[in-house]
Formats: sequence, C-alpha cells, structure tokens
Amino acid sequence: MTTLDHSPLTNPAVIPDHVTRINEAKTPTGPGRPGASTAHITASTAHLSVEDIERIGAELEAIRDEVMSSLGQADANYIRRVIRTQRGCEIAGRVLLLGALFPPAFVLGTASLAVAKILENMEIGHNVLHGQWDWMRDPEIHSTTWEWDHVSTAAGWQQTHNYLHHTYTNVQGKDRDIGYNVLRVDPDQPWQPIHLIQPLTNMGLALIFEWGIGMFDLELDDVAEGRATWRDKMPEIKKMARKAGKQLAKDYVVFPALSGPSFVPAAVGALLANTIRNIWSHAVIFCGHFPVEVETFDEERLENETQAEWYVRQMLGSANIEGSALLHIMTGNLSHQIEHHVFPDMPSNRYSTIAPKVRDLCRRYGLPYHSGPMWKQYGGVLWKIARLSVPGGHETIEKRRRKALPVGRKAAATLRRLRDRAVPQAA
Amino acid sequence: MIAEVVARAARVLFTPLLPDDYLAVVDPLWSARAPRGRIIATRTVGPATTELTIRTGAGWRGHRPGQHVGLGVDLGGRRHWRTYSITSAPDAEHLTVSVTAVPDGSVSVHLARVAQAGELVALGPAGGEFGAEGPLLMISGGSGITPMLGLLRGGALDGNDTVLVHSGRGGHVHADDLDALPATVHRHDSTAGHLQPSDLDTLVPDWRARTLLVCGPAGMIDAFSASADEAGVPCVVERFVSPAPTVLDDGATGGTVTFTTSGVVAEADAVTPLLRAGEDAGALLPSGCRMGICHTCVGRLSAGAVRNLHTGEIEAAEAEGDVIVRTCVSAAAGDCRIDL
Repeated sequence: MTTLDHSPLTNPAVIPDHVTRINEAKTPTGPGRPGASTAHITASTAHLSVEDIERIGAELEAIRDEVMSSLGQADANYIRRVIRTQRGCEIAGRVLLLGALFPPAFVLGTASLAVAKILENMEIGHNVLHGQWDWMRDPEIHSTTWEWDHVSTAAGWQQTHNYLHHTYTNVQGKDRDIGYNVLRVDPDQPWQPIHLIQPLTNMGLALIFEWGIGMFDLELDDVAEGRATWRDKMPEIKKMARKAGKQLAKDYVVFPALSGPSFVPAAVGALLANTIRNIWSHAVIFCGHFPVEVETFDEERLENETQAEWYVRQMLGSANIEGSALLHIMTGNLSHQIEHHVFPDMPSNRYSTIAPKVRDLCRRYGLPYHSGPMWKQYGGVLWKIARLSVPGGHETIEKRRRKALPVGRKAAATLRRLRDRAVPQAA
Repeated sequence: MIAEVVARAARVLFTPLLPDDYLAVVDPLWSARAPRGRIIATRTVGPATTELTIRTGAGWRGHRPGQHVGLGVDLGGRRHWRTYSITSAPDAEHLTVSVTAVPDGSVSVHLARVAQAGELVALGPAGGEFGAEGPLLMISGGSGITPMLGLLRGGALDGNDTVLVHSGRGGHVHADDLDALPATVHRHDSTAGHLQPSDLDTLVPDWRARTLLVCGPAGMIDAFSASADEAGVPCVVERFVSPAPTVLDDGATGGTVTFTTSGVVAEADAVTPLLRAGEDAGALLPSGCRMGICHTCVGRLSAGAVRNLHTGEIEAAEAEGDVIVRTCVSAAAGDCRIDL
C-alpha cells in the first residue's frame, strides 16, 4: 500500500509513488517512464543531476500543497471583490458612455470600460477558466460555466490555452503559442520572407489581439496542413461567429443605440476600450514567454519527461514582470508568469506570496529566474521580433540566453552534492 | 411579445453574462441564476435546534408541503450543501427550516449555532414527496418533527383527522409550536425509554385505522415501519440521509467507477486515475494534459468519493450542488459515479 502523506522536504530524494503514477498516465500513448530520462539536459540545467531535478519538483509540490491546503474564506472574498469591482467599472463605463457627446463622460467612460474589460479578461476570465476558483464549488465562478468578454468561446480557449499551451509550454511544434503562427519569435522557426515585416505585423496583432486569439483558437492551420477539413471546423467557427456577433452587437449597436445622439462617440468609446485592452493583453502575454532570455525546447524533450522536468521547463520557459500591486492585478497576475506556469490552477492572488520561494529555489539550484520590469521585458520582446525578422539569429539569441544564466551555479551544485554526501539519507 | 423583445435586448446588453449577474452585484437575492436566500431571523426551538427564517430571492420557485430544500453554505470559502425539511407553509412570506446541530457536523453546527441574521445561503430547488390522504398518525422523534410541521402548516391536511405523537428526551423540539397545529398532539418523553410501537395502543387506540407518517432517528423509523407492515397499516417514512458517504480511513481501496454518460463500468485501485481506469475499460472520456493542470477532463461526481492524488484529499458527492472533479488526478475512494 502506498502512503499518500509524503514529506518531500525531509527526504526529497523519495518521489511519492502516486506522482510517478501520474507521470505514467501523462504520456497518452506511451508505456510510461521506464527510467530516469535525460530530457532535462539543456544549457541552463547541465549542472544539475537527475536527483536535483526531482528535488526541485518535490520542493515545488510542497509549496503547492501548503497553499492549496490553506485556501479559505479570504481567497473567496478576494475573487468576489474583484468581480464586484469589475462589474461596477463596467456599469459605470457603459452609463458614462450614454452621454459620450460630453467629452469628460467620453474620456471617463472609455477609461472605465477599458479597465473593466482588462480586469474581466485577465484577473477574472483567464483565471476562472483555468479552474483556479473551482475549489469554491460556486457554480457562478467555475471553469465549467464561465463565459468571458472576448470573441473566442471559453471552450475553444480552454482547449488551445489550458491544454496545449500549458502542457507543452515552449516546445517547438507542440506549443502553438510560439509566435501564434504569424510571428517568428524563436530562431528555430524557419524564416520566411513575410517575417521581414513582422515588427509591423506585431503592431497590427496588438491592435486586434482579441480577434487574433479568436482565429488562433479555431486552429485553422489544421485545414491548410490537411489535419482537418473545413467541414470539421464548421461547428467551432459557427460557435465563435455567434459569440463574436453578440459581442459586436453589444459594443457597437445596442449600447450606442441606447445613447441616442451620442451613438458615434459611444461606439468609438467601446472601440477604444477594446483596443486598449487588446494592446495591454498583447503586451502582458508577450512578456510572459517571448523575452529574449526565455528558453524554448525540442519535441524530443517530451519523451519520458518527468513531472519534475516539466516543472523545470515551465520555469525556464516563462518570464515575470516586476511592478506594483496594481500592475499585478491589471495583468491578471500573469506578471507572475513563472508561478502561474508551474501551478496554472492555483488562485492568482497567491502567486505573489509564493514568488519569493520559487525565486529562492531557482537561486539555490542555479537556475535562471527570468524577471524584470515591464519596459525591460517588453523591450526584449520587441528587440527579438526585430532581430528574427531577418534569417538566422541563433547565435545572438543563444548569447543573450547564456548571459542570463546565474553565475556560480556549478559551484552551488558541487556544494549541494558535498552536503548531501555528508548527511546520510534517512532510510 | 414586447416583453420578450425587451428581455432579449436586455440579454444582449449583458452578454456574455446574464442580467442576473449584474443584479447580484446590487443584491444577491435579485439573481435568479443561482437562487439564494438571506437569513432574517434565528430562533432556538430545541436543545440543539435552531429555526432559521429565510427571505427567499428571485430564483426561488416555491415548494409543496412536506418537501425539503438544499441549503448551500460557504465554510472556509468552499460551498457545502445539506438538505432540510421545510417547516413553513407554501404561502408564508418567508421560508423556515430547523437545523439540529449534529456532533462533528460542520454545516449543521454552523447553521444552528453560528449563523446570524443577514447571512446568505444558496438554495437548491425544493424536492421530495412526503404526505398521505385520510386519517393520519404522525410519529416523530426529535428533529423528525420538521416535515410534520411542513405538512400541518402547509394546509394540505386541513380538515383531516390527524394525530401527532412527538417524542423528545426531556425537552421537545418545537415544543412551543405544537399547540398551534391542526392536530391532536401527544408529547412523549423518551427519558425513560424510546417510544415503542406498543405504546400506540394506549396513546392512539385507533392507530390501525390511520396512515402512519414517521420521521425521526433511523431505529425509530425501522421499528414503526416494521410494526405497520405487520399490522397491515399503510406507512410513509421520511429519512434524513447522512451526507457523508463511507470512506475508509487508511487511504481507501479503490472501487467500482461508473461513468454514467458513456455507461462504462470500471474497476479501479486507489492510485489509478479515474481517467486511466475509464479508458482502460473502453470509455471515450474528455482528456487534456493528464497531469491535473488544464481542467479539460472534469466531470461531476454524482455519487461516492474520490481521492485527489496530488493532495490526498477526499472529495465526496453531495446531494445538491455539483462536486466537479478532475478525472486525471483523482482515484476512486470506494465505489463512485462520474457523469461523463
């Protein structure tokens, strides 16, 4: 009989049996994990042993268990307060835009609506759809019932984002979020002439990001590559069209019509609010995985990848944005992208509390922890997009990645091994 | 017709949410999407029993006498559901239920001892059938009086010849309310011994000519329904079902998993994810990351209990409210049913 009460910190070398079982179940077609894999070996992890990696996994799970077992009323109050605030902003914005002919009402209404849409998409919609609040068992705040203020349907988003992107994060050929099929954001992506104009493409994408995501979620490239037919895609296309139609009617027909003589400025206000939300969410999301130093991985890595190696890949493939509490809320706590990728369904208000622990873990194991202020992260994204608009770029990007590696990590690894040898493992 | 057009236009205004979601910001009772009630008064009606008067919100669809209702209570941020008999009449202004604090019962202890006027509760739909025609003999023990109150106050039995035998140890639950009931009431004190079917001959000599309605402790219900069977007297019982399914302490042993939608039945041990067990048995189930992060594989646990393989925590089905579990990181903790 296996014991489910594991204490990874006291004896991190022992991986609980049930974790291994989950790993086995993870490879959909494979027989499971026959032995320790070498998938973890990349430039940034070459100094770590298989045991080190497993220990990192065990330490992270201890962090997760501590948070998940302490969820309570305060967390529930937090998300309900955010939802109330968001709905208040939305109502205020809509009401102000009814009198959009009056310039102050136009400005305040647009700003309020933009804030509402950002909060709805980032801190509420994205996180609720991840199941971060499912533990409350409140049917009104649940990943299976939530629909968000976005042209893509919740179900379509959950498929491409929760499953594909979060499981296969930054794996070439598996994570479709790498460049969203239109940008070359990794030197391993083959260069095409269209990439010459990708700084412009990127700006255009930022303006219509919501629609870009909506189209992206339909996975229409499946048709071009023969994996699906238009007929297969029709039900999803119809669903999105229906949803997008309602969104358009609400923002650009019904509310402007209600404002009577203010029809045009009210519609413009809604368009501006949507655009501000698009530019902001584009910036935040691009800062999450596309800064220069962030690593990408080959598909071979997935073979027999253990849970612990998966954790390490998530940390190496994500980047945080440093800033104020307001910035964290407005990014939906995606400013804690590393923590979010390690624990996608942990309530977002807890990421800030575990961030120092994850950072310290990376320091102790000599792993890079990609974090920086928004200007630095977004600057890195834009620089990379510009550099990769012309062929090549491998060496330049590799150089930047190497520079981001913590110094002294080999010494730290040696010290840790010496320590482990000095203290005999408990039987 | 016009109202329908207006309602549809109003829904477009609030898409992708519902108007109710915004109404709930102003007053949670205005939302019909998830019916709620607000406790407006509490009253002690027994040694461990509290009557809650609840103002029902927009989504409440009423009840019939003798029915029960699920109350959803948030404890530690997590919603728990328990079912209670409704003691008020359908046409009464407010809903009343009586909650007896059960030892170790987190929800009942909260509702009976902690809850104050002003607190919100989620309301399930009224359900259940309890009642009978003709001359009646109601036999109740302790909080078993509650469905009887619902029937008597509800007016369903007006003009009926009804006798109520209510048993209590020392004090009676709802002692002060018994005289106002349209029934002949006998109080039985169980301090000296439980109410027995044989007591009926002296208390209610004509009991064999009546239909028995019984509610109370399980032993009492069993004793009276057996005697009624023996005497050929019709007998209707209302049982309070314990909310917690039996789960073994030592980490459970797995069990039989029934996937209700696909009709597949699988045997699973205590460490095999339900998803894997179902697929091995030939079920086509929704799946994604297979490591507990994407929530694609979720299904409603409609019976039994499962163990979360990450935390070791047990999640158990509840009669009301949905317990949604991730099949890729949950294993059977005894027999269970998943709506997938």
